[in-house]
Amino acid sequence: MPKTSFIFIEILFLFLILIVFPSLLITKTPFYFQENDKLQISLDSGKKYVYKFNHPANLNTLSLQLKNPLIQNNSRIVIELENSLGNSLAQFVFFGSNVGDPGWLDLNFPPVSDTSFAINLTTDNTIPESLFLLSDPGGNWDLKTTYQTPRLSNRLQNTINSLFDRFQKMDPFYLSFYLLVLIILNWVFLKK
Amino acid sequence: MSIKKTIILSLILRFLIAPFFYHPDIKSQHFHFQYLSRGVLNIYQFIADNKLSLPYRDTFNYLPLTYFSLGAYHALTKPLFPQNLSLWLNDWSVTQNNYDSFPFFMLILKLPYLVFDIGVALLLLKLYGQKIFVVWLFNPLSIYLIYILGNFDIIPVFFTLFSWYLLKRNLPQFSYISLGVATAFKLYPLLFLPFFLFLKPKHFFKNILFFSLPLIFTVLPFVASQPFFLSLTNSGLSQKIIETRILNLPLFPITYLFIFLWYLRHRQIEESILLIFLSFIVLVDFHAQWLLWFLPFIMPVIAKSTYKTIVFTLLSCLCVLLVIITNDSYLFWGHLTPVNPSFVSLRSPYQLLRYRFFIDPLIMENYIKIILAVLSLSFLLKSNAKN
Repeated sequence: MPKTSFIFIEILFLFLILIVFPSLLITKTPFYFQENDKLQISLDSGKKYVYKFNHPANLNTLSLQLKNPLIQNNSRIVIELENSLGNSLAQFVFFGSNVGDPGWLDLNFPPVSDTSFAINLTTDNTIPESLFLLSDPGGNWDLKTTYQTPRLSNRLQNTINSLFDRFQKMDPFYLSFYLLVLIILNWVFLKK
Repeated sequence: MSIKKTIILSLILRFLIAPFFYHPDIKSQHFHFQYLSRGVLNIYQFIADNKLSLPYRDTFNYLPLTYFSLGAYHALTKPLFPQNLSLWLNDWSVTQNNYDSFPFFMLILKLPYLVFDIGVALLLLKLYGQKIFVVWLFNPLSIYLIYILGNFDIIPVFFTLFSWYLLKRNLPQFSYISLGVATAFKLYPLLFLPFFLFLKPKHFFKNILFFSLPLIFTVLPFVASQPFFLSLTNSGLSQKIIETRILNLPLFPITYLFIFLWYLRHRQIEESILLIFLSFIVLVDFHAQWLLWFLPFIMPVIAKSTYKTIVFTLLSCLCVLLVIITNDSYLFWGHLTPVNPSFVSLRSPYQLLRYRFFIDPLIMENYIKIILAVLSLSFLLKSNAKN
């Protein structure tokens, strides 16, 4: 095999694995990952629980952590996502049986262009201290979100940028060691 | 291509693959190995005493030699570790995959496997010639099992093959010591022991004594430790080989017995191990890395004919399919976590089957097992007709 073809195959492998695969497959980027479990907010009927947050555009999944001890409560839970103008973007209806002890409730919806949101949660639960929302003592709900990058060209750009960013943060000794080993092995293999 | 160039080409391939693939088994094992450099000699007791305060609470389910040898590697190479490796080993939080040097963690932790992997290749070269040597170095199955799944099974595999090499060179004492060392890493070489012992049944008890020496030396200091025994009972192999039953009779041990009787008549060790392998993949709910135990022995038999090679390739693909439809998000896209942590959030084949196509993966596993059984039977019938 000619030397250039051999080196080309290696570079192609690295290009595929480091840039093409992530760009093709990873369309959702995680943004929030708040998991504290410190505070349990009791969910009761007649109250509206509101959480406001800012987020990059194209938000498309949202997860809240709720707790239904021993999965005994089967009350109706309504979760509504609104933009900053108060317009409803998505609404989800669950029942206590859908909530774990504790468990994440995953909400999926088409990407939204807004960047400022409010989550409204209401329930018809009449038994106090039987259904909970998990949060930290500062009132930040346990929250996971992702936003979508629909265009492949944007994802390619993002992958390349994050790769260069990562190279800069990597251990320089190991990065040079790895590259040096590969270069030496290639040189020994390709020399006549 | 010369032997030297073949090895260098295989090294290039391994250096390109090893850093970018991950499975959490390698992290959990090295999480425990790190305690040797902190002066912990009885890891079983240490975990039992500190379970509640440890960031990772599973027991250490391997034998003491594994802890001492890989723990020693960990202790000796610690000054050369990439920055944050120790931090990463102890990070089991949601940020555990967000380390910039993740690929280098994989590289340094898999380096010992590289040495034993090349060692196995060289033994195969001595035992069976250049063809099998090349097949070992470039077959995707062993590369997947060693560098993608990243388990340490290649170490006992090396010692088992070394034992076979020494037995063929008429050095039985050293051979049984080597098999004992392999068994002191993982118990599976016990499956091979009767075949080795009855190849030349002279000095039977002396050979058993030599085999037992490494086990006695490494296990004896722990016999009084209750957590050690509790950890050993968690070992999967002893339970899984008796799980498949008909009329409450465990099928794999019975098949194993028949294979052994066949072996006593024919004295063909590689063929017998191939038969064990075929019954193992059909009758045992195996962990992927267990397939590696048989590979060096069965390759020479498989490589004899195109038909066998094709059937074996099919069998291997089905075995890998069985593995990737397991409910473990790290067994497919999750392997690429060192490249990008978001890979682990992608839908795994298990989730796709279950939630998109509404197929129960357990039923699919049963179908695959049936196909494996049919293929294995056809393989046996064809070989038998030829013989």
